[in-house]
Amino acid sequence: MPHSVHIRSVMKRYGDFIAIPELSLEIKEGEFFTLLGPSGCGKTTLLRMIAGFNEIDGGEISFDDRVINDLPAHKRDIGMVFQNYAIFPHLTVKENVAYGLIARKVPAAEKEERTQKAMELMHIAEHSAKYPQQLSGGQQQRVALARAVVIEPSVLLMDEPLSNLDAKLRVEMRLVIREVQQKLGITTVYVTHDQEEALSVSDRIAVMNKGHVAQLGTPLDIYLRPANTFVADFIGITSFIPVQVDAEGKVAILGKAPLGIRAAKSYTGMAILAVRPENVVLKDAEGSDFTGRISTATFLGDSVCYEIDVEGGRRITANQYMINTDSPREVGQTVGIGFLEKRLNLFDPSGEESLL
Amino acid sequence: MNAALRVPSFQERLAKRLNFWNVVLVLLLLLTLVFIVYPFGQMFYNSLFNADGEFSFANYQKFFGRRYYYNALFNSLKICVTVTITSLLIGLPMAYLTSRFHILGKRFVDIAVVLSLLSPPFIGAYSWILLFGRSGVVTTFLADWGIDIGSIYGFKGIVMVFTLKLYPFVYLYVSGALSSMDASLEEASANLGITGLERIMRVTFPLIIPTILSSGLIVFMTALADFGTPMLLGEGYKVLPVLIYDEYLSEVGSDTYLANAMSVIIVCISATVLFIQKKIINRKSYNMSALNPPAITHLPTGKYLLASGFVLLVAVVSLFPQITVAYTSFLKMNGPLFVDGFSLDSYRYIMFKLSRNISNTFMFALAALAVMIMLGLLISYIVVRRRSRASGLLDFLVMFPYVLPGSVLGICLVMAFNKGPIMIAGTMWIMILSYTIRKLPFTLRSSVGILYQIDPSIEEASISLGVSPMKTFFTVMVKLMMPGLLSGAVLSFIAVINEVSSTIILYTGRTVTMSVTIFSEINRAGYGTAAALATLLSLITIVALIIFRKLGGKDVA
Ligand SMILES: Nc1ncnc2c1ncn2[C@@H]1O[C@H](COP(=O)(O)OP(=O)(O)OP(=O)(O)O)[C@@H](O)[C@H]1O
Ligand SMILES: [Mg+2]
Repeated sequence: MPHSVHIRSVMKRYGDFIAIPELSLEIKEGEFFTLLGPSGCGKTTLLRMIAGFNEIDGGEISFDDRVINDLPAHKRDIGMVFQNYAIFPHLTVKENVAYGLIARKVPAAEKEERTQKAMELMHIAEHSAKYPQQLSGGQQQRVALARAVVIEPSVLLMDEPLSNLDAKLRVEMRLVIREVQQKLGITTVYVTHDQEEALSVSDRIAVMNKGHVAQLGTPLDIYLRPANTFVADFIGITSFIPVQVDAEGKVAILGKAPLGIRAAKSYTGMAILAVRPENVVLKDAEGSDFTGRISTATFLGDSVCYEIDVEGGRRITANQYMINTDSPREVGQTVGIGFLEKRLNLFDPSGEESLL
Repeated sequence: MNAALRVPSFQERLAKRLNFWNVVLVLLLLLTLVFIVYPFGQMFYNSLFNADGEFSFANYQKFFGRRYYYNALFNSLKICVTVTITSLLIGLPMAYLTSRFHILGKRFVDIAVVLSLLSPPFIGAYSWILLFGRSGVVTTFLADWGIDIGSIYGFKGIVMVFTLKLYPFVYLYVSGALSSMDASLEEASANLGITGLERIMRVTFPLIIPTILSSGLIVFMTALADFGTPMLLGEGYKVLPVLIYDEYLSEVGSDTYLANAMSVIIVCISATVLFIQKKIINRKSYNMSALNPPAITHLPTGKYLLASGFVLLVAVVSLFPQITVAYTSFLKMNGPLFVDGFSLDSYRYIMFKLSRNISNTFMFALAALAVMIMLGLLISYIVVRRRSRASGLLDFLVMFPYVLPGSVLGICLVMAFNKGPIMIAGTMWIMILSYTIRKLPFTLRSSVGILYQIDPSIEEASISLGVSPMKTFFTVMVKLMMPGLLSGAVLSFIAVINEVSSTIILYTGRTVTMSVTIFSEINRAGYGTAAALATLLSLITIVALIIFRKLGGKDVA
């Protein structure tokens, strides 16, 4: 039975160090929810509080309306997938998968059937008699996943399950994980510091920073409308340009003509314009108001990535897709810079708040 | 709404803490309190009272006031320092030669080294007496030719026997470190023009200083605590453990209060040495990973023979005692005298007359082993996975007997448990208790090592799948730890069956073991039976060692 997870003002301290000061989240039933953030931001800490391996020092966590603060880990009915697989080395694949069912005293026939089904779902049935040492990393992670989902847990927790795999397997396995989660409809909390992984599998993402939630939203929201400069910078690539907002809300790069966007809030003064590389439009320098000099050009196959030096010693990153051009621009060339304006983001000088 | 502000009641907090591991921790702490802290505390306390039961430093004044007593302390220190140096002088070059060059009979050398390490020390002393003693085979033979080789008794003899018995510690530790050292370090120094002996002294050995120090420390502490060898060979040359034994057990004029004070002194020395070593090791340890293990090279023929000759000579000489003892065990005896011809009489005698000693030895050792394995599992888990101030205290208390010489521990235990609610002095329980306390530090360290290699998430996986922490420990963790723990336990078993220094204090007629019988047989001139028992003990040791290898154990030291 999938459950919703409610995290209310939880706090976690290690000795004098407060890893999570106060954090609240609502995770919906059946949702694929991801905790994303830089190393040390407290993702694992929070996940382990849900799992019952870290004590909750303040606030409460409940599954549906049952508070689980004092429920020991083995009674929480969770499935967990670990970064290093954590498969029992002394048991075969099949025994590993059946482990949780035996603990739950599931009748033998049903146990057999569910184990078999889970192994088939994860495409490991043909290895059922093997020991973990005889499996590849990807196969081991499939066993770990089968073992966690076969018990039909109320919540499935995964802590960087793919980070020990090579790049190609990572992409393959994240599709597997997403597919299985959809098929079984298990409420899932997924931890990663890989933004691409997070964007590709999640229903919703909480971007974390220093024990706080910096932004909560769908992958699309978070990518297109970051709530602050931390998120804009952490997810994808963003160039920041200082701008001036006048009394009418017009936004202009210093000394240039106003751009086509307006600050939504009544705000006047300096602000920060955030622009992603794919939203920079390169033009000829003549007739352009805002120009820069290309300092590097990196050919990436489907696109070329430019670093452009602009006035004030700043740099802007721009992508030009090969389908839009025949020949990349040269290093040293001066180019005009325009923007895909509806995709721009604007923040107050502290970077904490969006002005759009 | 803000639950962070709600202060949980005492009952709630207690209920939260009342889990399996905390209960085990409390029980274990109680056990150490009763069986380690109390006996030792009592000994320390008693050392501060005189025979009339008044508080005084009289015992210490007596010790440091009389030449007879404080001389034993000097003798002990003199022997320990000398033996440490001689063991290093033999062990270091041997380790270097065998781990860097091809040496004739390397496998034989390894076996000989381990065998001489694992025999009870007085077997060495005893067989040297058989050879070079006043009426020894060699002595009488040479005397017939008019050659006087001098006495094997006293300082010289003790140092020789200790060295031959203890250099294996240096050899094994240092070979291990040398072969896991990264070869590029030595190669780099060769590129800088530092070669040969200079390279060894300036690069190779300094890099493994911590290992050299640890092995030296073990030699020092073992020599300090050992009792059998100086007892047999010392004659007038008294060392501290022998004096403690005398004061504690001698029929006339024994002074247990003084024995207490001397025990405290010897423990203080051990603890100091251990403390200094810890400090030095912490400061001077280099992280080495052998990405590029050193190659074993060929020496030119002349040097090859010279090196092999040295190494083989040491190995053979250190096997001498075993060979002599085995040979003696098959000699025909008439009373205390050897007569011409061979026989199995000695073996018949021990099988009929001394079978109880043999069964006692096995029973005590196996019982102690079972307890050690269980405690080793539980304590190592608490120390590694449930780190807290209390678990640190537990670790310290369990490791503390490591610095207690066996005879001191024996005395502590007798004094503590010959009265009161736990009256087990004179029974088999006190023997098992003593063996457990003495060897648990080794079992614990090996099981701690194993536990560090097991990923914590394995057990979290089991818990998350619905198996309680306690059941997870017994079904998953124990299974994963067992192979490594068993191979460590075999070594503890070997150490226990060869143990004398506490046994000799604790045994009674009913609980006599093979090792003390060897000692008492030697004292009453039953050389044949002593030799037969000793041979049997060595044989059991060899069998246990083979089992150990089969179990996959590598680290003999
Ligand atoms: N057992 C602990 N004792 C003390 N501090 C800890 C402990 N575990 C974590 N921390 C600290 O808490 C903070 C959050 O750690 P956490 O492991 O949750 O980070 P994370 O977001 O999972 O990072 P990563 O991406 O590197 O896994 C870090 O600053 C870390 O140093
Ligand atoms: Mg983490």
